[in-house]
Amino acid sequence: MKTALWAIGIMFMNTLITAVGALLLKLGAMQLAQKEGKKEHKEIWKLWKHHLLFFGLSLYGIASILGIYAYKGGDLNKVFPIAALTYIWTMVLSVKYLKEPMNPWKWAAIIFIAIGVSFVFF
Amino acid sequence: MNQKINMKPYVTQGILLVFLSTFLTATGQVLWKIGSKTLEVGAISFFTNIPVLLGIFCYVIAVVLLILALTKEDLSVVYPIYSASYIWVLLASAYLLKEEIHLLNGAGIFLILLGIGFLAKGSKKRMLHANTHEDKEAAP
Repeated sequence: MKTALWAIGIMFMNTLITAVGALLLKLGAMQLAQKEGKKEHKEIWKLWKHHLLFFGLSLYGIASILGIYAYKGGDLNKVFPIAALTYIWTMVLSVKYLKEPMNPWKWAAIIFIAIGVSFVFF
Repeated sequence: MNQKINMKPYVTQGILLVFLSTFLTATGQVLWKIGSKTLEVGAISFFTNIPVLLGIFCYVIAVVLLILALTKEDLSVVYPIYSASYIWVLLASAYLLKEEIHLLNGAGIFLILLGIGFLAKGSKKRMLHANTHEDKEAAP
């Protein structure tokens, strides 16, 4: 089955949304740690009360729904690996918003993941 | 011998959780692929699609396990192990879904796995230097 361009596009959006979701989850987790110490994460059912965590998870949900529809347009072994782009966006967002340092290993990661994902077109 | 060395067993509970999570993730993806074939746009089609719902169930458990693992292990340990799900999905695509797999697609997965390995390495470096770095920034 040839991979449809729209499926690749939807999966691309999935990765962007997931990366933003991950950033919100991280910010929410940091807020949580600041506010209430480290005990709270044992009570998983209370986490939804924290808005950032809730929005982060919602974005995960939306991204997943998009992903399921993307699978209509191509073979799983080609569409699923596109999800690895999330690693790149997450890295970029963490460097920009969480001030995590960049280093040569991460640059190598971006290049390898990008090339690996681009093989989906073959 | 009084000296306390922080030695962990090679396979920790956290690592086992990540492994379990990779299998559930892969199972979820396969179920979603199966469900997507009959899936149409709309809430009714979505929420009456059994494979899709089972896939969501697998995925949610996979994510919970991953979060639990992250409370025990560093991201630099969890990332590379979690990337095993790409291998399971590739194998499942070939043997369960009978998809055609080209050499280049396999090579692509290999490059992605390498990339995630590099990312883990890069993240670990950050962890090692994080304390001194943050101390400097926190100082008024």
